[in-house]
Amino acid sequence: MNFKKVFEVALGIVTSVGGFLEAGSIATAVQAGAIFKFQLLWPILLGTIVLIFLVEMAGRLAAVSHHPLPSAVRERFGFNFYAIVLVASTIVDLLVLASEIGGACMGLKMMSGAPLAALALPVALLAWLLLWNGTFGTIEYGVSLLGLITIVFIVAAIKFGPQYSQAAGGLLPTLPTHDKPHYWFIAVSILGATISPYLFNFYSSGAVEDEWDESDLVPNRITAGLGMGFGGFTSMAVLVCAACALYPRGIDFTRYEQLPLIITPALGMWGFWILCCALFIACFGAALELALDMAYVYAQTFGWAWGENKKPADAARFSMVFTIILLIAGIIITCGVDPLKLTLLSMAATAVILPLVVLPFLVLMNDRKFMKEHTNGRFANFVVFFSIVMASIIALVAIPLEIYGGS
Amino acid sequence: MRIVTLLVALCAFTAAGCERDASQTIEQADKSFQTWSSSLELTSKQLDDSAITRKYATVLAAAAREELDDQAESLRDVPETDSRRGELEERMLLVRQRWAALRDRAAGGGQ
Repeated sequence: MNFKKVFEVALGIVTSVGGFLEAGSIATAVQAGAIFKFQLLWPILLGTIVLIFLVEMAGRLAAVSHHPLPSAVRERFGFNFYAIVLVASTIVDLLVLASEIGGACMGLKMMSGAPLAALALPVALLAWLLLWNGTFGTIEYGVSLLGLITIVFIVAAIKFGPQYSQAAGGLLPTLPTHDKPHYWFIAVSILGATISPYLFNFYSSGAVEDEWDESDLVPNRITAGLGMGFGGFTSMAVLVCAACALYPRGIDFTRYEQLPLIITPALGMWGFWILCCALFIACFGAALELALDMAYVYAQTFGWAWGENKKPADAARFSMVFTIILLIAGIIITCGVDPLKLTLLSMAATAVILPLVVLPFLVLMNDRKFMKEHTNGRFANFVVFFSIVMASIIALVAIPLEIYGGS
Repeated sequence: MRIVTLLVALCAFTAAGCERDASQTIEQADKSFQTWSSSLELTSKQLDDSAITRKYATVLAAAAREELDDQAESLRDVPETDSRRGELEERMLLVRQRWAALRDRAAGGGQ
């Protein structure tokens, strides 16, 4: 690899780490740590491993076939099938987008005291302005680099000085001793938050925008492995902070307003300010990526002109999609929907639709017409297939049980 | 057809979940009082240590109040003859006192 490639890989890793945390991964990790201490570290580990495979696959697909994921699935399976995926993804992504806007607003609310309803539309407007005027580089690198501020969770976790051996035990799946339905609900929510389809959809579209070719396969593998790996580590740090700060005091995480309490006992006032900024930046960055991803998906499905590097007038319908969905997401939060409940529900819903998105992707990755000699290995196929189907089955059982509150 | 069956089962589960019995309400309220009592205590301590802003303490106190009001509303559905209701209402009063103390301190009033 020449210097330019090394720099691109380094930048890719750094932006992957900075862009990893968002409302879903933060909320689910905090809730897990608060109620089950370190016992739910394993879904973060499992989700991160599966995400590494999926992101690498998405990059490989783009580099080899020069197709982003949505258009490749549509071409391989036909429009009628893809329409089902599109409807399900749109509903779930819209919920996730609203929860990200809600999370960003909560960061601002905790700093300023302003009500959520007054912040939602201005935050959505700010996101729209950035997408309207920005380039792909601004979104991918700018916001994700700012997202490195989320490393504050790692600093706080180390400062808490957790029992590392006990924490390591949480990396292996164990059965819950209490709150069984809630345990499984949080486990699938963590998987849904970690294996977000928008992450690999966005990654493949970005790779096409950056005109990747087969010379990018090695950098792609390194970026996916290290970037997502370190990102997953940050997510585990969030859980460890909650396990150290909330679990011993019997505090359940039921409102975003409690979030600073997982950091301030370790880091004090500066930790408070950084946490609020981190929450805003992480959620805002995810909202930008999600809005852009939905615009990519629609444009690629219907064959419209697309690209964040194009002027809005040259990709009018593409720009219209992110405009409309940002407005809807902003309105949802303005109407007073609880962002935390919305986040947890949307993450579990993501886990339910995962097979619909991932299984066709797997078929595609084994199709020589698209992938030439770069098809998937058996191990990657097995890990992704098994994990996705398992997550979806658990979600189908856990969601009703969570609502019912049974055991 | 299988998908339809699954969806129907999901709807049935969801519908069943709409009704909560008294024990669940009690359990939920108990958890909530524990959570908010400790959250308010920790916030108060963090305010003492200048680890958080007064504005944030006000935001947390407002969230606590909303949650306590919700639990008070739910407890009204528990029969008055149930002794657990009385115990929880007493606990709620204690949590409310803690809330009022934090609210006053965040506003710059009491200690």
